Amino acid sequence: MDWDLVLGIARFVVATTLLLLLTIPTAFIIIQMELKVIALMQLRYGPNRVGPKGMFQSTIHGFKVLAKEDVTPDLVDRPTFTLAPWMVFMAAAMSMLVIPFAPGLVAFESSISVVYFFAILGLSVVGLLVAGWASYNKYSLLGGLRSAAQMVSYEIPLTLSIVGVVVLTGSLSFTQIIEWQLQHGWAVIWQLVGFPIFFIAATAEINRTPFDMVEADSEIVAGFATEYSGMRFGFFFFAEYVSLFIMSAITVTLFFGGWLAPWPFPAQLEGFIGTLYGLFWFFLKTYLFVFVAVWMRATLPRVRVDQLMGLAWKVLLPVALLNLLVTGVAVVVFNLSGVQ
Amino acid sequence: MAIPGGGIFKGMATTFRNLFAPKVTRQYPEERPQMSERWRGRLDLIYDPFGEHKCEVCFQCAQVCPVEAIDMSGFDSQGNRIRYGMPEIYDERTDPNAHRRAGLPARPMRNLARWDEAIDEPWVRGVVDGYGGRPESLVAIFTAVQERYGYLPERALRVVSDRMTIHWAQVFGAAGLGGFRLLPAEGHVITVCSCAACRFAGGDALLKELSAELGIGPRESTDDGAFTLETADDVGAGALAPAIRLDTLVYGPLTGEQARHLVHERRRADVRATVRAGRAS
Amino acid sequence: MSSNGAAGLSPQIHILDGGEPRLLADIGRVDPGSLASYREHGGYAGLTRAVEQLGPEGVIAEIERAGLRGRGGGGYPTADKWRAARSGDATGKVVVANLMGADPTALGDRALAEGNPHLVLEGLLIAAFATGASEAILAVRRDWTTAIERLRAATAEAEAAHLAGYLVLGTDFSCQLSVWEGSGALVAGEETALIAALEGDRGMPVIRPPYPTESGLRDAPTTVQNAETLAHAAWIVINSAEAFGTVGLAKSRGTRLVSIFGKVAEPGLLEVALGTPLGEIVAMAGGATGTLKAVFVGGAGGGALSASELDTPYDYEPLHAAGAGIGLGAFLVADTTTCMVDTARFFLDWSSRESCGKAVPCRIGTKRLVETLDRILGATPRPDDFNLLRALSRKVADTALCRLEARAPGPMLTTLDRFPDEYRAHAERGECLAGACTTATLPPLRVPLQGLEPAAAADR
Repeated sequence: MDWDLVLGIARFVVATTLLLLLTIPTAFIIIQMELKVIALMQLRYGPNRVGPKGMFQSTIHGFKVLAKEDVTPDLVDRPTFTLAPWMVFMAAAMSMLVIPFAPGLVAFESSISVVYFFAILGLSVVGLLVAGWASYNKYSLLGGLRSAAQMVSYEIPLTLSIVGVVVLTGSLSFTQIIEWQLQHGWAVIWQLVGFPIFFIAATAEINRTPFDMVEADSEIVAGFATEYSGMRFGFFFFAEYVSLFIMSAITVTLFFGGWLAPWPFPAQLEGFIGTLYGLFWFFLKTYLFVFVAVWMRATLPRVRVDQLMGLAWKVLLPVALLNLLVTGVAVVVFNLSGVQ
Repeated sequence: MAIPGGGIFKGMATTFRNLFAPKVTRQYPEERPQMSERWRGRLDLIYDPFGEHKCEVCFQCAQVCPVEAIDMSGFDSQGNRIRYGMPEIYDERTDPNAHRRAGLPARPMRNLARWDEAIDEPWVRGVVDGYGGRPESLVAIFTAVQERYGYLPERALRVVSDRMTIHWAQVFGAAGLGGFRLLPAEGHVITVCSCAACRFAGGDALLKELSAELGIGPRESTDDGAFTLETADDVGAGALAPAIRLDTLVYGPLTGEQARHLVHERRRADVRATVRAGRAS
Repeated sequence: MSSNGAAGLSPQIHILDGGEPRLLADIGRVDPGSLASYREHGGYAGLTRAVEQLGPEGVIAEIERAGLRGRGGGGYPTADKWRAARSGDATGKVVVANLMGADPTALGDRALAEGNPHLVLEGLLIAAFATGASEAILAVRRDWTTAIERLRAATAEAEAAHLAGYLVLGTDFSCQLSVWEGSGALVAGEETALIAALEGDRGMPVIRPPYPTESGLRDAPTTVQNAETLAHAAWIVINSAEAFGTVGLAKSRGTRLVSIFGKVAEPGLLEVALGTPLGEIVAMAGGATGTLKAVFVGGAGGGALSASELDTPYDYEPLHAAGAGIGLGAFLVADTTTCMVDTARFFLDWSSRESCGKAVPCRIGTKRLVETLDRILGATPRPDDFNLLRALSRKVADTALCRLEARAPGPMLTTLDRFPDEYRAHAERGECLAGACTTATLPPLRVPLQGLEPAAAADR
C-alpha cells in the first residue's frame, strides 16, 4: 500500500471539501458587505433587521433562493440549461484549489499553478455562454455573447500583465511568487503599470461594475440569467461572488505579497501560529480588495458596450505588451531574475 | 488638471466620505417624522360615522388639478346631486360649493336637477324602441327627450343606456357634445349668440346690456327664476347678427335697447298670464 | 334683393346679389318642397345622365376633368377621393353628406339644404353611384329644423319617384337614403369625428390612416363630402365639366359659397368664383362700414389678412400661404374699431371650448394659449409670453389629431405677425389701439418683452 498516495488523496479530498464549504460563508459575507457598504455610501442604513445589526440578511437571502421554485421554461435545451450554473460555479470553486492561503496551506501545490488557475477560471465563460444559449431567450443570448466577447477580450491583457510578474519572479507557482516577494518586496512595487492593468482586466473578467455588461439590467433584463430561477440562479449568484473573492485573492497573491505581513517584523512565524498569522494577513488584504470592488460598484456607472471593447484592445493590450517588454529588458539588464 | 480618469477617483472619494456621513433614512416605525399641525394626511375618500361619503363634490381638487384629470359626481352637503360631465369638465365650475370653497362669490344653486327627478320611464323606452334602439339614433332620442323635459335628466339617460344596452359612458359622452342641456333651465332662456358674426356686429355689447338688465351674468338665472341668460354659437345668426334666442325664437339684428324691450315684453306677458290664471281660479 | 321670401329660407340666411351665382341661382326659383319644380329647372338630369350614359368611371372622369376640389376646407380633389372609395371591393360602402355646420358663421350648406334640397340629394346620389355605395346618409345638424324637414320630404319624394332606394331609374343601382340628425359642433367638420358620431359614439376624431375611404362607417369605405361639394358635383354632371371650368383659376375651378359678415354694409351669403380678390368680395357686400383693417378668412381655423393684402385671390393655396385658410367659406370683415388681440382671443377661446377633449395638446394647449392672451390683454404679461404663444401654437399644430386642431392657433398667429403693435400696446401699456377694449393706461413694464421682434417671427 502506497501510504503516500492514500494520504495525498485523503488530503486532496479534505482540502476540496473544505474549499467548497468555504465558498458558502465567503459568498454570504461578500453579499452582506455589498448590501451594507453600498447602503452606507448612499447615505442609507442598509440591512439592519435580520439578526444583530442585520448580519444575517444575505444568509436569509440564500435560504430564500433555496426555497424558491426552480422553473425550467418549456423550450430550453434541458441538459445544457441544467449544466450551465454548475459549470460556472465549479470553474470558480476549482480555481480556488491553487490559492495559497497561508504558508503551507494550499490545497494543491503545483509548480504551474498560475497556468492552472487562469485555465480553469477561463472555463466560466463557457458556462455563461451555454447558459445564454440554452435559455432560448434573446436577452439571455445577448448576455451570453456579451460575456464571451468581454471575457475573451479581457483575458489577454489580464494574462499579459501577469507574465510581467512571472518574468520578474521566474516562477509559475503562486507559492514561489510569494516567496520571491518575501525577499524583494511586494511585486506591485516592481509592476507599477502591470498592476492597474491586471486590476482593470480582472474587474472586467468577473463582470463587476463598471464592466457588468453581461447582466446590464437596464438593457438586457438580467443577461444570461434571465430565465434562471431558484437555486440555479443562486449558483450563478454564488459563483459571481466567489469569483470576486478569488480575483481579490489572486491580486493579493501576485502583487501584494499574499500571506506576507506588510512589514517584516516579526519576520516569519513558524508552525501553527505562523499559519494563522499568514491567514490573517491574507484574508485582511483580500477583503480589502473586495471592499474596493464594492466601493467601485457604489461609485461608477456602467460603461457602454462599445467603449468596453475599445478599452481592452486599444488601451490595455498595448500597454500590457509595453509593460512586458520593459520588464523583460529590465530583468535581463539588471539581472533581477528570481531564477537561481 | 485634466488627468484622464481623474473623475473616477473624485467619485470614489465622494462615496468614501459618504460611508461615514450621517445617514438620512428614517427608521419609520421607531422614528416618526415631525408633522405640521395642519397636516391632514393623505387625501382619501373616507366615510363619516353615518356611512356617508365625506367628499362633498366641492370640485376643489378638480379645480387645482393642472391637467384636469379629476372629475367626480355625487351629493353635495345640501343633498343636491352633482353630476360629472361636460359642464364641469370643460367649462367653468358653476357649483356654488366649489365657488364658496375657492373663495369666490357664490350664488345659491336652485336650478339643479334633483337626483330623484321623476321621469316617465316607459315613455323613454318607447322613444328608444321607436328608433329601433340603434346607437346612431342617440342624438334623435336626446332631441326628443330634451323636447319633453327641457333638458336631459340623468335618469332618462340611464334608461336610454339600459334599453339600448350600450355603455353609460357612451350615452353621456354623446350627450355632452352638441349643445344639449344637462341641467334644467329656469324660466325663459335667453341665449345670446356668441358666433363670430354676432361678435363682430356687437354681440358683446348686447350681452352686457342684457346682463345689466337682468342683473346676472351668463350661465346664471335671475333670483325670481324668471330668466336664464346663456351664450351659444348655435343660434346661427348669420344675417340677423347680433341675435338672441328667447326660448325658441330668434330675434335679430338687435340693438341693446331692443333687446331690453324684448325682455320687458316677456316679463309683462308673464305677469298678465299669472293674473289671468289667478282670476280663472 | 333677398330671395328669402320666395324660397322660404330661415331668416338668418340672406342671399346677396352679385358674384357668380350657380348653386344659389336656383334658390328662390325652385320650390324646395317640390320635386316637380326642381325637375322643371333641369333637376335630376345629372343623375339620369350619370346612371344611363356615363357609368361610375365616367362620372369620376367627368368630375376629374372639371377639377372639383372639396369645399370643406381641405381642398382635396373630389375625384381622387371617390376613386379611392370605389377601388376597394368591400360591400356596404357609404357616402355621407356633411351638413353639420361646423362653423356657425358659414351658412352655405344650410342655404342649399333649405333652398334647394334636391340639388344636394342629387349630388349625394351621384356620389353614391360613382363610389358604388349602397347607402347614402345626410348628416344634418339638429338645430337646422327647416333643413331637416325639407331634406326628409325631398328624400321621400325622390324615393317615390325611383330616384333613390331600390333599383334607381330602373337600373341595377340601389341606394338607401336617410337623413340623420347629429349634434352640431366644430369637430363634426372632421370626417372621422362625423363617422364616430354616426356610429352613435361621442363625435371625436380618429387617427388617420386608415382613411375613411378605406375603412369608415361600420368599417366600410366611406366618402364624406360637404353639401356644397355635392351640389357642385351635381351641377357638373348636369351642365358638363367644361361649363364648370369657365370661372375660377387653373387649379381651383368653379365657384364657392362665401358667408360674409362683420363690418360690412350688407352681410350675407354670396357665391363667388374661386380666385376673386378678397377686396372684390368685400365690395360685393357693399364695402366695409368703417375703415377696413383686416379680414378673417376661414373662421376659427383660418386667419387674418391685413388691408394691404386685399388683392390676394380667394383660393386654397394663396390663403394657406398667408397663414389663413378657406375653411367653410366664412369671411369676416374687421374695421379699425376691432381689436385684433381680443378677436384672436375670441377665436382661440371658441376653439378651446369646442375641443372634443380627445387630444391633450388641443384640450389643454388651446386653454393655455387663451390664458396667455388673457395675460396680455390684462397688461400683466410674463416676459416670455410671446415666445410661449409661438412655441405652444407650433406644438398644438404639430401634434394635432385633426385638421381643426392644427389650424386652431391660426387667427392668433396671423394677427400676431401682422399687428404686433396692437399686441405690444396691450402688453406693455394696457392700451387698446383700436379703442375697443376697456383698459386703463398703466406704467411701462420693467422687464422687456421677448418674441415680438420680426426676427423671432421669421424663424417660426
